[in-house]
Amino acid sequence: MLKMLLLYRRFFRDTLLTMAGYVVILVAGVWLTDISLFESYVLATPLLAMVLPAVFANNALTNLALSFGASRRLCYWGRQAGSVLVAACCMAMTWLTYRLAEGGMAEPLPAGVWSWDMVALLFAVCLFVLQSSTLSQTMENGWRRTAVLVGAWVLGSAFIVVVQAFLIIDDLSNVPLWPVSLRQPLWLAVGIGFLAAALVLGVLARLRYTKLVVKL
Amino acid sequence: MKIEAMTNAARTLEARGLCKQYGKQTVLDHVDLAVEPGCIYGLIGRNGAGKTTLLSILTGQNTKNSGEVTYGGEPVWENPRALSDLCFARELNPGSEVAALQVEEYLLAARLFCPRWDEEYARTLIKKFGLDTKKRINKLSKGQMSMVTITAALASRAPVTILDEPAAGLDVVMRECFYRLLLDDYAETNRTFVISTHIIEEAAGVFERVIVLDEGRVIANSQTDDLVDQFRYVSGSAQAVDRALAACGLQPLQQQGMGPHKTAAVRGTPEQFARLAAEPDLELSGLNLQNVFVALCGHGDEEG
Amino acid sequence: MKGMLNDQSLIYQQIAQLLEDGILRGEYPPETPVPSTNELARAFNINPATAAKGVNRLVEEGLLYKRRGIGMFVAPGALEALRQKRREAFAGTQIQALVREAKRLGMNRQELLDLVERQAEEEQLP
Repeated sequence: MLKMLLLYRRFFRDTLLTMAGYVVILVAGVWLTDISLFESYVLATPLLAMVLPAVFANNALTNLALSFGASRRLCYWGRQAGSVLVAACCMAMTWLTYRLAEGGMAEPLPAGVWSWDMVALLFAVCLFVLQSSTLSQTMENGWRRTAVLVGAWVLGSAFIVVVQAFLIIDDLSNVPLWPVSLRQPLWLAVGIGFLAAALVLGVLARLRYTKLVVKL
Repeated sequence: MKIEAMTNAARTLEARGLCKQYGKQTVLDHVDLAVEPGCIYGLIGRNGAGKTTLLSILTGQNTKNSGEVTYGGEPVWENPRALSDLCFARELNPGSEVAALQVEEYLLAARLFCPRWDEEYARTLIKKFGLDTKKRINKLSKGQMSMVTITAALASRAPVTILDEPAAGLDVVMRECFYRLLLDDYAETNRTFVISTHIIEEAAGVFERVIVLDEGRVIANSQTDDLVDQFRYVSGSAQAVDRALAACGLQPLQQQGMGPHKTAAVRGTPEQFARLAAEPDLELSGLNLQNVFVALCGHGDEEG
Repeated sequence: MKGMLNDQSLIYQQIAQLLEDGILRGEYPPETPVPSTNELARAFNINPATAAKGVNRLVEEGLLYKRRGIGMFVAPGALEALRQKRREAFAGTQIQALVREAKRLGMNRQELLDLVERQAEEEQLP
């Protein structure tokens, strides 16, 4: 499994560089300028972080590993390990941005924007998109493959937008669904829903991996 | 050192009753094949004969419809013990996702997953071929892409190493260089090689055994010399040729007529050839491997 | 050096032929080594097994023998044995081809013999 991660090292190097660049630019922008665009981006970070799982979809490395004698089992679990790292990157990116930008923001960050509940929901959505990207790897190039990947990404992103809306827009504080908390059955259900969907996609991907054919 | 350990490691890679269909089309039809250790095999067949499919199934990279593929008696599919002894260097397709990777990454994958990888040897080959490892594979010429796969195959030091069209895109000088590298490696390690190729005659001297695949079936699997020795060109006047062949009970595989003169390619036994040679009106000459291949697999296509 | 091999006969036979010619020409006197299998394989870019086949043919005919750990050596009497062998084949190969070609050219016996005589004179055949 470690071998697969080593194979992914370039992807992670590029990812970390991009993340670092993103954080540095935003934090600098927030602290050094008055342009409110930067502040909007800070709040939108979880949404932007969702791009990472979607980009992890390329299956060149899986094909390559298989062609040199890696077993499908190794490739699948290696990918899962990689997925956990990608999820961690998303979380880290969001947390870093919030932490470092906070002091320079004109308005303070909304309460609950980085609560444990938020972290859990974000993680569940990440996993969901990652599993769909793993599944899409096993599919032939075509509209179905794109649909699986983009569909999951859109669904996940839409949910994050809704969550952020609840956090940011004060007028919604009267709506029964506020606050965003896992103690509220609806939010809990949605969170579990994403995890369950991730599990289903992951199992489906594993089944399809057993019959994967190498295409160079 | 690694090399001694490896020469004793190779086991027999076998296919029994292997069948593969894509929809209604049968690509491999009850293929029975054994790749014995320590031998250089040539796998020859026309485009679409099923060579790449066969090789990918033998190395567990493609699925089969029926039959068995074993290495040392164990199934190959998803078996790390078998897979670690096998290396299949496939032709790279410039349009694929893999071709967007850099040469370095490709070789990194080889290094990670081939347990006997020889980094020093790889570096020597890269230098010899003048490859820029930072370049993306799809930015290389066809010949350079071949050199990358050759590097991976040779440096893998795998007991059973399979190359698919390694000479594609290489000019004649580089091809000679490749055969030399292959034979030097073989002399040093005595590992098993299976080379699938279109460029038959050049490589004929390199193959100890040759496997001919035609329309999904193995139609020959023997020592190169033994196979080639079963064929002769018989030429003379058309009547003389027809008469003599009929007398021996031989059917021509290929015929070429130029007016009253005719040349026929036949497959037969030494006794039959001795009889034909004794005929004063006939001339016998040998075929080379390429001629044999065309005679066996041409199905008349070469005559238009 | 690969170009020295032709496709008129099997490669191992050509290797055997080459060694025989070398012995006949005196390049490999008795009790001297002939090129090793690996050297031959390298020189002609062929499989060592094929080179070995050619060498083994000479071993089987008693023209070469193996000295353990050192290599293949020309057997004493190989020169004479080879000459004998080639003489026996001479009639079947060269002579038959010669006469058949003469026939094709419409020559008669005397014309053929005259040509042979003339050539023998030129080459000072005793």
